[in-house]
Amino acid sequence: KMAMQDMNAVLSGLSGREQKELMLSLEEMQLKENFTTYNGLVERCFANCVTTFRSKTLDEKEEKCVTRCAHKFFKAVRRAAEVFSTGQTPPPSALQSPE
Amino acid sequence: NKVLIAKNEMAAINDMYSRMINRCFEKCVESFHDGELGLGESACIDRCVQKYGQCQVKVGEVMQKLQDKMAAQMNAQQGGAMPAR
Repeated sequence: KMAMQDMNAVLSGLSGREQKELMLSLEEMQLKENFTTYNGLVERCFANCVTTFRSKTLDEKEEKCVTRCAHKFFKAVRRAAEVFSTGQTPPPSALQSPE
Repeated sequence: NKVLIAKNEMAAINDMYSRMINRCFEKCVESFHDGELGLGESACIDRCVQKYGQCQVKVGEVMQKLQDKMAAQMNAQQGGAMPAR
């Protein structure tokens, strides 16, 4: 949200055509970041949670681990974003809503 | 714009694929005394690929739930003007 202000500052220095070009690149970067985040998270959670291959399906423990891993990641992202944008540290996450 | 989306989707699949291959190789192939895949290694890779796919589904479910939750919160703030996705 703070990034929006910086973006407006950048945009105001460009012509209409350049702005369109930039917005298209931005859209492309956003799409790429979406799948990179998702794929990276799958990889990370898989690497940490799935350690044996006697079976071809995730057992209950692995399933829970993967789910928790994903939840924790987004909580960490949210917290990091908050600290980054406000410069303040929020209270410990025990106070946030449960998953 | 459709090209952009299609291009992106292909890049996403490529990216997933190479991560999966790297992880399954790392987890299933321990030694290089032999240049061929052993029976155990082959079975491991089969199962690894399947499990990786299941992880993808699980993570996707978490993301979907979070998106729905965010959409619901936005709805509440806007007085319920828009339906959830």
